[in-house]
Amino acid sequence: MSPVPAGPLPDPAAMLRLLPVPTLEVDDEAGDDLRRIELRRAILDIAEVSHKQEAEAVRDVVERFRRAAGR
Amino acid sequence: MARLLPRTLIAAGLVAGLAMLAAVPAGGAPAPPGPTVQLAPGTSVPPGRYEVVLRGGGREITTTATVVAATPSPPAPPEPPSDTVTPLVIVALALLLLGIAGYLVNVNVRVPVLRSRRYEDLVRSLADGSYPDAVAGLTRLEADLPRRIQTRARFHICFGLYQMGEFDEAEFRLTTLHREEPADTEVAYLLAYLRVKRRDHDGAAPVLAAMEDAGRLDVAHARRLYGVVLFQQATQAVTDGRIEAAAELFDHVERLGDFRDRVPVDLRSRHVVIGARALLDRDLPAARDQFTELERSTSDPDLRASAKIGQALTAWLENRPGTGKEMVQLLTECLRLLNPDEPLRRVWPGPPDGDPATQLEALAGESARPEVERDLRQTMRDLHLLRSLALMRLWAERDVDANTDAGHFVAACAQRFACAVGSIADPYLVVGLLRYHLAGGSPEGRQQAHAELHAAHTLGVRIPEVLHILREDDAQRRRLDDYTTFLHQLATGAPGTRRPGRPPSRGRFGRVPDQDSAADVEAATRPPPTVAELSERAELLAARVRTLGHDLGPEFAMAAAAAEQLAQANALLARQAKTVADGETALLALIGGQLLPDGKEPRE
Repeated sequence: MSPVPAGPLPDPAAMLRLLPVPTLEVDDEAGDDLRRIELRRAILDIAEVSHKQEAEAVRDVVERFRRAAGR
Repeated sequence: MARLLPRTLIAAGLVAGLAMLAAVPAGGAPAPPGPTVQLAPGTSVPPGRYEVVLRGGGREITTTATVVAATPSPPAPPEPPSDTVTPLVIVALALLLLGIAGYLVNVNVRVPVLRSRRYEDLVRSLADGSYPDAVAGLTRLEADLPRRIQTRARFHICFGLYQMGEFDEAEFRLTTLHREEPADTEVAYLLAYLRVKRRDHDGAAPVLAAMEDAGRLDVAHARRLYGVVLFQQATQAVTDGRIEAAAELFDHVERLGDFRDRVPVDLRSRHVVIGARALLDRDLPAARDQFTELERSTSDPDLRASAKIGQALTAWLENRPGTGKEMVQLLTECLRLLNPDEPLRRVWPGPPDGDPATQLEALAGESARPEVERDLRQTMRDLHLLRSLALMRLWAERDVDANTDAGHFVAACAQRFACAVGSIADPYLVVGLLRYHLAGGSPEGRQQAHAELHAAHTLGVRIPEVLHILREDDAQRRRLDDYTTFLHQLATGAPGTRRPGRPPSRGRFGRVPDQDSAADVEAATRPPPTVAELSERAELLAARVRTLGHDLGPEFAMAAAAAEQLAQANALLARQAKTVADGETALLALIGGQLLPDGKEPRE
């Protein structure tokens, strides 16, 4: 019975290949911070668009229509 | 080899010295032997000098001889080496040489070979995952290994410790090893990897930066690891409010490439990051400068779109007369950049049908889309909403023509807001309110406005105006229901009387079962009408009589008079009820405190 060949000796580079590939994991809180300063995600926040503000905008328009109708 | 050579030389010198020592006789050089005269037994000669005649072989030689007196003998001179001792010395020397040679061979050849084999076995078992045994063996072996292998053995020990979760010890050893061997990139990578694992990104960054400077980010996944580190540092900078540092770090992440897609579009440019911060801080001139500079300096469509978003938001917040047109134009250009095929108006879809299954299906379909696509769709909807509001603001800034048809205006607005319809309430809120106020005169318009506002309410709108409209509408519907019931009661008899129905059938055992009519149940469960309900009914009846008008024929006058009487009676009842309520209030104000048990406060 011949001995099983041991194969090449793993070198440090081979050992490093055994480690998982690094992955990017951003936790929720940090992700929220990123989104907060991301312009595209903050369009309505920056513009301060709220239901109340929208209702006021509608009232302005309605007021103009009524004034025009009353002339 | 450098260490082996001196040891061999020393051993060789030792052997040579021993051989030389063995070869030197103990008593120095031997004296040449003199002639000896054997006297006959029993004869003696006194000491002195004698003439001696030697005869033999036909010859005769005359000489002198000295007989020495018998004095105390001096120390016996060492015996000269005999011929029988020399071979033993040679054998001993040979054995000694053999032993020394064996020792040297053992020390310099056999032991290193055995250690090398042991080291290889341990490294293989490490690679197979037997970390504790391998680490223990390598730790014992490490000090005896040649320096070149020793460094590798120390790396393997650190690797095993990392895999065992012994992070403190692994980091300590790796830090030392990295300090001793700064050019060893595998050691550097493992150290950085370990620090990233421990979320010590600031500790990993200089190690990886040195690898980048040395052009060695090709080791393992070093470039990717560096990307992770820089991204996390950038995120931390954002959290800390260090926006410029964040922009620089994200820029580096972009250059490395592995996580380019993960860098939010708006964080790819320093101008966008700083401009967005300026907008949030309401520093509008600074924001305008940043976005103007960005638009001037970039040809990237995404970044140009960001520049236009920033400029439009600046104009929106400035809210100066005339900025409405600029806003609409900027947002239109931005939408065109993001999706040239996206229409700027659609058919207003109306409120969702309210079927939960359909809504769930729509939500599931939306969440199944890739995140990037979902983000883009949401951005587009937000931009459409802002553009529609800007258009509304623009139209409101201008003088409204008295001939403008309100219905057409609402429809035009609805077409714009249709592009923003998604899972948010805003389009339904704005269109519903516009329709309620401007086109709610007709029953259809009012009904549609109510449905739209109801959808907005379902999606989270709770502003008082909408709640009031919905409550008012619900009250109207309830009054109509009550009115119908009241009429039905009038038509079928007084409450509590049995209504005609199926004839009672005999029960199983011949007994006629009791049958409670709906009116019985209603009479038993319904509380008597309140003054307000009576008043509302009277108003409804009066309104109904007025609506029917002359359709009632000759009975109209009587009905109108009866309705008037009813209204007066109700008004009297209301006044009396108020008198009763006022009296109750006065009584409570007078003795209310004494009505409570002693020492007890009313429960809140």
